[in-house]
Amino acid sequence: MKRNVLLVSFLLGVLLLAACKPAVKPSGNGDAAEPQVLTVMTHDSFSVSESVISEFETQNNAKVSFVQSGDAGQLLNRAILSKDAPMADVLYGVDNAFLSRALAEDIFLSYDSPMLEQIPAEFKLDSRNRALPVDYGDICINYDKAFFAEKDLVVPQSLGDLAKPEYAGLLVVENPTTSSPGMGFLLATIAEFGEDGYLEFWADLRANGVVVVNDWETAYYTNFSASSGRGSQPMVVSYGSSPPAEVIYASEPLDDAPTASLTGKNMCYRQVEFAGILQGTQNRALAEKFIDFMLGKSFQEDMPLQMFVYPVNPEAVLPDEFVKYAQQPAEPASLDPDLIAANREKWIQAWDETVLR
Amino acid sequence: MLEVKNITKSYEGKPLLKGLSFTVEKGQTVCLLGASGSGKSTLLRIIAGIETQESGSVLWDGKDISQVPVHERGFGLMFQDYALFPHRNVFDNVAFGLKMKGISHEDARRRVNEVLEMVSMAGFSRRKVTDLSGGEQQRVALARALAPNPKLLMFDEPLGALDRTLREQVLHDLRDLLHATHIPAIYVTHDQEEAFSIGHKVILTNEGVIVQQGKPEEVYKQPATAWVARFLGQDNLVPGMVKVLKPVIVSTPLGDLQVGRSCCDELHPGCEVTLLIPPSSIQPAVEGINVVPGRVEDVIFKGQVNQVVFRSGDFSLQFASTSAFTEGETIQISLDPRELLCLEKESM
Amino acid sequence: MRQSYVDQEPVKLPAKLPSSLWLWLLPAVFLLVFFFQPLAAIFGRVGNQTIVEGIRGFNIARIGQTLGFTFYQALLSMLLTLVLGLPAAYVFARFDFPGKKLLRTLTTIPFILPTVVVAASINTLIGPNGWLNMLLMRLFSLDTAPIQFINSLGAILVAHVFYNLSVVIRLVGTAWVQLDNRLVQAARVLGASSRKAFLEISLPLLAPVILSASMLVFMFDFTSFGVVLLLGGPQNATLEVEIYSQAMYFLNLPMAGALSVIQLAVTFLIMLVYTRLGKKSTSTRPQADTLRRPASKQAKAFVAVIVIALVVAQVLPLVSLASRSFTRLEAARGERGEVQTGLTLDYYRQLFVNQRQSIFYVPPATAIRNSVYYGLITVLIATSLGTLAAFALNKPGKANRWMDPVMMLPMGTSAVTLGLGFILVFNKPPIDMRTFPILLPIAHSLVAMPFVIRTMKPAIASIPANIRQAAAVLGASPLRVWREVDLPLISRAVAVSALFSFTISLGEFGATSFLTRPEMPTIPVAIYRYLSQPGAANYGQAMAMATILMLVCALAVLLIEWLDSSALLRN
Repeated sequence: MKRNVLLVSFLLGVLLLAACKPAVKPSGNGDAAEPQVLTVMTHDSFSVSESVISEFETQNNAKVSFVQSGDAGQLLNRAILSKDAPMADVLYGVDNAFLSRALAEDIFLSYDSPMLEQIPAEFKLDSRNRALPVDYGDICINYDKAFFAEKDLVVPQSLGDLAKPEYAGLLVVENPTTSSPGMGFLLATIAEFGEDGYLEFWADLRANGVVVVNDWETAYYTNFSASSGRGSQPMVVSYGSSPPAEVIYASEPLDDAPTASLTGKNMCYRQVEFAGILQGTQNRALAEKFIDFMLGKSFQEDMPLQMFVYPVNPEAVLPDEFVKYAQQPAEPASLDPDLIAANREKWIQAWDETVLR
Repeated sequence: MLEVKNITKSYEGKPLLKGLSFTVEKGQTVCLLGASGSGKSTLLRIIAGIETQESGSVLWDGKDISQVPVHERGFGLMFQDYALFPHRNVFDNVAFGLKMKGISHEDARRRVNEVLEMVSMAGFSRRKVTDLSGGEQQRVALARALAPNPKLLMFDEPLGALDRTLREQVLHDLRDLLHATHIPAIYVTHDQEEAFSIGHKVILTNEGVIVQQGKPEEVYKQPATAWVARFLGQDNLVPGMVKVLKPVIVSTPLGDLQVGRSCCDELHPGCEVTLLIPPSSIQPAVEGINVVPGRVEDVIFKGQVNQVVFRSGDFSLQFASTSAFTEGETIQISLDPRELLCLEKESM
Repeated sequence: MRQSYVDQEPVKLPAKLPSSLWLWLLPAVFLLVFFFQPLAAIFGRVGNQTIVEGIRGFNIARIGQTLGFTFYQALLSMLLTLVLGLPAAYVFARFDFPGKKLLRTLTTIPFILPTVVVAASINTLIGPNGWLNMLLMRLFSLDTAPIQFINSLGAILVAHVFYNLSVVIRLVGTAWVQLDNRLVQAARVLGASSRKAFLEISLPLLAPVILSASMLVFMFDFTSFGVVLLLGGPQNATLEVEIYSQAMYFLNLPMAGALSVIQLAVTFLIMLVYTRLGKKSTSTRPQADTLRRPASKQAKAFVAVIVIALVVAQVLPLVSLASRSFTRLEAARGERGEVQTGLTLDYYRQLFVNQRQSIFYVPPATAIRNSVYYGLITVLIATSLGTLAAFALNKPGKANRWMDPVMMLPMGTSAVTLGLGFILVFNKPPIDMRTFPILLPIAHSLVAMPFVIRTMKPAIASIPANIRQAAAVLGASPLRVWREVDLPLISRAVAVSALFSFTISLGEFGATSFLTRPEMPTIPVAIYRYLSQPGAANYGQAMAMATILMLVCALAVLLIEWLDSSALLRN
């Protein structure tokens, strides 16, 4: 009996302790004046250095609190559902595939940031500056260098090459219904072959033994031959920043990246990520400062090694590994966001019919 | 005929059965009497094959059946608490043994009705066992054990939870049944009255060994030891020392008493004994042999007779009497020497 | 004292006993606030949208097909789980053998592993470059991997069995141990061979608990998400996956909502059928354990086969996974044929280093602490509320016919739907998602509570009413009766409930991804972070974290079992 009582008291104690835990982790040095709290909502891939955030916090006597919400789709859902009582001041993580939807739902406030002058026009997809570009990445096919060298194969130079018999069964792609890179690759094929031709291409791919899985983790870590999963496919739809990541996160020092990207015309899809100030924010001024900060040098330069994306700000200096091991496509594919929003489901449906059924 | 030879078994490291041997003849009901927890149930389970003995053997008609699996022995066992199958109705419970034998449904139905009739439970076939009262369950359990015509029936304290009238009635029915069917039976109980009314032979066990076996009257009249006497409800025991032989005079706290019977191997002057004074040997009297003075401590009304508690010194004796006594009354009793019995000294 | 093992109608006890209403109070309020409220909110919102816009892409045939497949794979998985689980339960209930305790602890661990890790571990075992294939390739000098398994229904089934075996083993095994063995003995004396006694007596008596375990396993498989997504591949979509992709990728909430409603309705129907079917409960009787070492050759062989099967099905994947956390299994670049192995603790060391100086770095100690916190709180909430509900469900009354399936609903609800509902409802004080500390364990408890109810209900039903009455007559107040009589008798069931509540919480990822706050990450969240980036170090660290998770779980299981057994001994 005594033991039971002890046990119950212990458990209750734990409960109380947990209930009393501070909700916000203090991330800056405490100041005499009460710092303003800025809430930023992002997806799970978001990451930033402590020092960079501290910089912002000290400069503005603020505390930045993050709310992370799963992947991009979840993030957007969350923002839309809580439109009337927004959960944050700033939202980061809408990409060009979801851009139209986000704008249509009218969740952002317009903000003409002075930093925008530094950003190239190709990234500024919202003329009203409700969604401001922060970074971009390329969804590219990564290939296993050693495999191709061993088999003495030439890497595919274009999307059309992928349907050739010498590459049969060597490619793994993700399902656009459930995966963002998968969606990106599909859009690239539409950009290349047009709405009339892409289905034929996919039928050819299917005949050529393309492997389709549901998500990036499976594709990369189970199917890809050059990752720790040591799978059977030497080509995978991944990111242009994956080769540098393999070097940075190698378990023993490497002098060369084991993988590289295929960067022929339209073989990569350019994905831009946006941030915006949410309607209904109580901290407009601070939010604007944060947007400016995100477009500024220190944040932009921090992004590559944290999130493995490219900065939109050309002033930002890229880290060495990126320069050495990442290949930037000369002609990445991209499509008009409104076109995507209007046809997305139709395209995916058709793709599903052609490839899976 | 069942023969149990030298069965030993331990429980949690301590010896429980220390070499038991007895037989059960055809048509005979043998009662195993002993204190609760003395291993009687275990013995039944060994005979049934549910448990195995550590040494010794079980023989049926001369053949050792120790290796025969439980379901092939053909014995019947009625459990304490009955162990009726809760998910089956009365009919299915009773018919179970028949089903296992592969008997046709028609024949089974006939037999089940026959057996239910025997235990006065005809018409209960469709009832759920969970709806039955204690007495009804007991009879269904009996019917179930009887139905497959077992070679030997074993009862493990079957009347435990029944009230007195029901118990007597069921005991009566059981006795008639066993006599009618001639099935040899072993009946285990801690209740001496039950054992006596149903058994042809009673076997008393204590601490894992058989202390005495024989016909009920024999055992009652001639208990082999003081323990047996006490177990059978005879509390009139006094310690004593033999003074002389021929006739045997034993000196006791109640005085020097002449004793007519003896269970001791060798009596000699000076040996310590325990004296059994059966209630039937006690008479209120003023003179005669073995007169003991004392007073009436208590009188308990028992219906037909009074139970008188007589006290002399440190000892009290109980006897039955139709006379009226009052508490505190000083009286004298005389003890009939022909009924007094010398037993081995009780180890206290 | 003679105990009646047979079911008895609960006799009305003296008036001051907490009536049904009081017992229902806490669980019902809990469900109303944290389950029905968010559901109502999201369905309401989506309903409005549907009325206005209609449902884009609503295709009855397609939905029917998806529903059919969901059923099919759940049914198959359940049957396979029973095929291995029932003999395993028997072995655990009746035999004692060296290593039994260890094996039983190990079979509980798969339950907690996040799917992302299970997929990786199954891959390390039977993937194209897994141990098995490498072995076979070396043995038979093959060029390509002979076992191609991933992305198929087969992989889904294997993973489901892997996950849910412990449910069958624990639930059925516990009941089996407590099955009145005198009934089997009576049957044997009446002429039934061991096999017949099992079929005629043990099996029918165990049927209620087998049904209960099957239903739980079925529901887990029916709403399974990670396994289907990661291992089933694109051809194999279930309702849950559809809901997820509709909500998250198509942003088609009306469709997701419609599918959720269908899922809920189907769940409710299944639960209704189950409650009708499962009226009886397995009769158990407290008795001394009848464990014995396998004696005959047959018995020994049987036990050996089952143990080996369990080791292969449950332990091997765990070992394989753990092995990947401290082996460096890489070919030197350029030498694909050769695979060098080396043991290393680097991945564990790297776990403790914030390599990128990221603000979201999760120190393993923090993740463990958070996971354990949440786990304990989930145990508290789910076990206590579930037990209350189970007591209430044991009282006679017509309402129970509906309350029982209703309490089971959270099991059949998509985490996505619920998560979105939470977003709608809990975004301002007093319960604000961003700050309310125990919202996450509350979500975990929603999943765990039905499990607790299913475990506790039959245990409570088998408390003989006459013992309670005896205690009452001896002067114990109703509350005292509860504490001194009921609780000790059901302690084993409580232990099983606590165990599963803890493991459910430890491995939960779906709701967690909605409700987690960056400053209180759990181990599955941390694992997922590592696996969402390329790089051998990330992979290794994910495996290391998963191994740590397994150790934490094993320790918790051992602790709970120790507490339970020592309490039993004292009683």
